[in-house]
Amino acid sequence: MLNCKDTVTETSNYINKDLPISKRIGLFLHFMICRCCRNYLRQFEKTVETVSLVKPSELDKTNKLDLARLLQQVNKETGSNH
Amino acid sequence: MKKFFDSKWADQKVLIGELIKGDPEAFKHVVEEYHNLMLSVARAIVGQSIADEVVQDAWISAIKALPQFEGRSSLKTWLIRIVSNGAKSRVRRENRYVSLDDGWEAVSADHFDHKGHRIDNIEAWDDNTPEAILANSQLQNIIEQAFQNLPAMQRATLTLSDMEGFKIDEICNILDISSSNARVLLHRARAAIHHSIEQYQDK
Ligand SMILES: [Zn+2]
Repeated sequence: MLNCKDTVTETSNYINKDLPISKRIGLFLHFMICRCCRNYLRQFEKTVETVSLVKPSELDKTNKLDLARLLQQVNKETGSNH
Repeated sequence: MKKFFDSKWADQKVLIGELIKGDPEAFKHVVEEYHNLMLSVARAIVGQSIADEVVQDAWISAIKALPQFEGRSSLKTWLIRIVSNGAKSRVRRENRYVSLDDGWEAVSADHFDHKGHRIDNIEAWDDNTPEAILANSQLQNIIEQAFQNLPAMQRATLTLSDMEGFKIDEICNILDISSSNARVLLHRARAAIHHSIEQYQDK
């Protein structure tokens, strides 16, 4: 029988449906009987959902307008070589 | 406004056609849309210091190869592949070593007894709707901060998986790591962000 600690480390794989069926059933049964792990699972799902909404991204100082202009220039030169 | 901007370029064929034609707006759009994602992949593979250079090289080779882009994958996947290949060959060429976790130590928020049973009590969170989450700037800041504190490999794994929808096996190829590493990194990243939200919820 799985304990709470095993359950925590597999929570990510459980949400990703990335587990062999026997393990998946084991976790499912643990979630049925353990309110804490069930709440933890819901919190974890909520975390994943929230992160995908907030969508944090890399801190970056690139001047994107300059980069776009540079690439436009590269494209122009590539085109004229054909 | 954002919606209009997005929908205009939703059709990839149109976007690529406009890029080849040299439409400045199309270039602004792709840089805006994909630059940080490419940077995330490069930072994870080659490290912070030369990531900008690697991404810039990737952009240039992508634009040069654009007329040959056949649309068998999405533009996003194609750009990621180019930056990933560029970063990997840079690592090989220069014998660079970038650690998976940069000495990361996860703060474990969970407490168990010697049998592995929980001794802390996990309560359900307030059930916020997506709209409520997006209206909560304090929560957004907390998530943003927790994300920035993660090592680059974890940020990239989380970004590719939970924000960009890549599967674990695709992430392994992109970041050149084993699938068990990818799973561990993803779990650590999610757990760290979960922990920061938990502290906020407990207040
Ligand atoms: Zn439990």
